[in-house]
Amino acid sequence: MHREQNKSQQYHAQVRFLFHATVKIKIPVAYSVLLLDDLFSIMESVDYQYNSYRKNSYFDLINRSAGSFVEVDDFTIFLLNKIKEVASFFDGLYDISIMPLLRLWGFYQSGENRRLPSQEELQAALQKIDFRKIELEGNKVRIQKGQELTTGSFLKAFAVDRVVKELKRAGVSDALINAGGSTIRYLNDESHPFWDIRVYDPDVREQLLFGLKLSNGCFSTSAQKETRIVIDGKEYGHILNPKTGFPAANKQVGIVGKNAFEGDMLSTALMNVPSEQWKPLLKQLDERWGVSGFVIDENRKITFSDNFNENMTTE
Amino acid sequence: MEVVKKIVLYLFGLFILLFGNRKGPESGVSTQEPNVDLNKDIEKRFHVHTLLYNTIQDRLTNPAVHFRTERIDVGSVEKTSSPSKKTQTETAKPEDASGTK
Repeated sequence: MHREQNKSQQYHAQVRFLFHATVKIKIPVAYSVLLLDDLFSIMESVDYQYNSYRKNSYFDLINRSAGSFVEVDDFTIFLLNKIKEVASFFDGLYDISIMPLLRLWGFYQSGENRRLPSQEELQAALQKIDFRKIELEGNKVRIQKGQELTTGSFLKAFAVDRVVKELKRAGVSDALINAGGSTIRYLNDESHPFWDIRVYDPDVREQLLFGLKLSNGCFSTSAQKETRIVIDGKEYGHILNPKTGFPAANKQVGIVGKNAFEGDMLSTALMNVPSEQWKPLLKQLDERWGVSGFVIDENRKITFSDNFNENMTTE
Repeated sequence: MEVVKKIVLYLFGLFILLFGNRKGPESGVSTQEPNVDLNKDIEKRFHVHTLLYNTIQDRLTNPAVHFRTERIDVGSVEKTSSPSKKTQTETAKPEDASGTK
């Protein structure tokens, strides 16, 4: 039974385009709109300093210095340690050194002359993918020559977590950040005990699957449908399997967790996990990271973690 | 009578303007001798960091613990957030999830 809440509560809401996504931040009208500027500045700062697609960011320097150690800041080391922890848990089914494969398929490039990669090309790219070869020594990082890291699967979420930290510091206890729909982080207090989140069908965008009532956490979604390329008339999703070199078979994953950074990494990783492993794996994820979630496979079968249904509504 | 009063006040104001603060500039000059010992131990009062030149990376490094400003690439500044900063007023309406990473 969910508590009643004041639905007339009003918020300042501002939308900006960051990390190739539409980011919306909502704070109660009792706070100044100037706070929104500060919050977006935090996200911009993370973008400038860490986005691998941005020239002279720390991750860009690591990529451009492949083969040599590069001095980075504490946050970069923190991020890489967490990433390696998740990558290790999934035995490489999540791997941020996947950029050579993304380039081979033609993601994040112009759409001219796209074709399916040959088996030889795939093997050559796969050999470069190995998170274990990301070496950390103090505040220095080195990747192997030919390797390239991408921050696409986690950086937006990390920026959202930084925003939440600032919100808490400013005393805001009721707010929402919707970063592209794939990362929705929310704060709640007694005046507003939960936020309503709507989850849609991965194949039919307008078809509502179910609603969620969520409080003080993050909902992370990964799906193939939203970002894809077309080769010879067939669609290929942007989440690639670092083991096979082909797009992940699963259609959609949703994770309810404590923070966005971990949630986004876990949802991306689960896109590559075969359906027969989901039930025990979701249990392990709950024990280790305190998350719940669901996975929709290529046959549209939905598997929920045992602790997920309590949040669901059919409104 | 009123005209005479105005003229007298005008002349009084002019007098004050011209002669009212004659000692002003002179009174600001200090006759105190400069204290030459004041900055004698200046190096003891500050941390002195020695920068080392790294010939491999072609850059100066500071081995001492120090603060540094956050690095911002001003060479090719590209504003990523949209220029529109319109703030809307919303209620706690439902949010849509989607899978764009």
